[in-house]
Parts: sequence; structure tokens; C-alpha cells
Amino acid sequence: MKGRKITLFRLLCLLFTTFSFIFLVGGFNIFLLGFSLLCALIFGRLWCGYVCPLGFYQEILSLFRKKLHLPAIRIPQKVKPFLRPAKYIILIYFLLGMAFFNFHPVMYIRPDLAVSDSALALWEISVFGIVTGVCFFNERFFCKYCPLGTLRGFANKISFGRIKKKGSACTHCRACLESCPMDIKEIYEERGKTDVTHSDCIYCMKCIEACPEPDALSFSLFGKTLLKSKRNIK
Amino acid sequence: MYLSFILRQFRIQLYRKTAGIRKHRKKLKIIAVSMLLLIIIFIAKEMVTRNSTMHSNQNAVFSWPGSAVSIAGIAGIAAITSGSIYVVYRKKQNSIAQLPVLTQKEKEK
Repeated sequence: MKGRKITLFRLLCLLFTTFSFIFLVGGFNIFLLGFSLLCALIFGRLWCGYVCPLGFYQEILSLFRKKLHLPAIRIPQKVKPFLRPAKYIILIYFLLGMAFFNFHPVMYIRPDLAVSDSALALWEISVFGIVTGVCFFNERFFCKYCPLGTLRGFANKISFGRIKKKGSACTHCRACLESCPMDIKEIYEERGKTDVTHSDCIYCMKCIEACPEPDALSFSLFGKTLLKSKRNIK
Repeated sequence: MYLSFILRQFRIQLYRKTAGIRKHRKKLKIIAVSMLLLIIIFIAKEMVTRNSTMHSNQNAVFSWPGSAVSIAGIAGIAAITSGSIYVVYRKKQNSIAQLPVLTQKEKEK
């Protein structure tokens, strides 16, 4: 974890919020979900990276994988365009379920309750199991198709948190792309634009931490630069 | 005689492997105790809330054997999924064309 202060801070935030939810929230809470969506208007998908207990569960899985020295398996570029519409189909299903079928996604607030429910149907056990299995090898797999994340992603474009890139300082070393848990290509590929905030970005700052070029990548909130990439001399 | 030799070897190996960890014994103890406390508090809290919410409309039904079956099922399917993903990945890696290995004659040339 040396030189990864933001990641450590983020994991501590996730640990704190997960335990806070366990102790303070009894189950599904529509107000909390609403609050998370309101927060997205200001901070974008910052909730996904620093608060979401389901995200913490996935982070734990990938930490466990790293401890076992197993490789991360990424979704092939050829498959991605086919999987992209799935995100919106899941979102529609989620919204319809919430609106008409009394669907209570307790998973987003208390994944421990959702997983340990004794009345789980076989298909639910299968879905949870498969998602867990895939998340073990693919970091933050569920976040890529999460309906709430998709909703927050719409706000990412207008939020006050911005990831900026200085094209002239970038050497295209792919460090940002390799470290990104959401597999965002645009941060690496973008040459002209300075604002590289993507709708999938969860502001984990791994790209900024990994970037070896000083000032090539930066994060700003309300127009004020909070974090910049710097050369790590080891 | 042979068993004691194996046990002694095992003990030496264990001692060597844990040398790095033993350096931070005090810190590790504090972390372990705090984590254990958190887990105990969490389990106790869960037992209380589950009993109280069982008959309310807030959450689903909970019973310890049922929950254990659900968790075991999820863990089992997760293990099968991740295992099969890994097997496919390894097969793909092995199928990638390897660089030609030079023979002794070619090396000499």
C-alpha cells in the first residue's frame, strides 16, 4: 500500500460507511438511496467509490485475489459493446421494479442482509454467486452494470468533481488504463480535451496515483485542484 | 523418529515464514483484537435486530440454518464461477503462441 494513500483512505472510508450502515440502517431505506442520488448531482459517482457497501464488498474480493497472487481478468474489448446495453436494460428493470412491483433493493445499503436472507430463491442465489465469482477476477465488475451507478453516471457530466488531463505531459504509458478498475479507455486515449471525466468514473484516483508524469492527471472539486499526479521515486 | 524429523522441519519452516509477521506482533494483536470485537458486536447486534425485524414488514425472513444455506450456496456458486473463469483464462494463456525455443545447435551458431 506504499504510495497509495488515496486508496488506503478510500478503503477506510468504505469500511467506515459499511459499518455505519450495519449499525444505523435496519434495511432498505428509500431516503438513503434518494440522498445518494442527490449527492451524485454534486459529487458524481463519488458515492460508488467512497461510500457504497457493495463496492466495499467487491474491493475486499479483489484484495483477496491480489493476496493470492492471481491475475485480474478484464472483459475483452470485443465483448464490451455487446455488454454495454445490458447496463441500461438492468436500469429499466430496476426502475420498473421500484415503481410497480414493490422492489426493495436492500443490496445497495445492506449487502450482508441481502446475502444472508434465508428466503432467497435459487435464481437469486445463482445471480449473487455468479456476480461474486466474476467480481473476484474482474475488479468492480458489478459497478460497471449497477443501475444506481448508471443513474449517478448521468450526473457525472454535470458534477463538480472533475478529472483533468494535461495532454502535453502525457507519455501514453498506459499506467492509467491498467490501473483503472472501471476499464475507462478515454482517460488514456484522450489527447486534445483537458476534461476527461467519464460517466463510469468512480473517482477512485487510481489513475492519478499510477501516473508517473508530474501534473499529467489531476482531480479538481469545485474548480479547486485537490490532487495531482507526481513522479514516484522508489 | 522420521515423524519427529518432519515435525521439526515443519516448525523451522513455519518459524522462517512468519519472521516478517512476528516483527509487527504488537500491532497485529491490536488489529486482531479490534476486528474480533467488531465482529462480536456485529453478530450480537444482528441477532437482536433479526429477532425484532422478523415479524415486521421491513426485511425478509431470517433463520440461522436458512441463512447459512444461502451463504454456502452463494459461496459455492461463486467458487465454481471464478474457478471456471480461471480455467478458461489459463487455457487461453497457454494457447497464445510461444516464442520459439532455440536448440543447442542454434545457440552455438
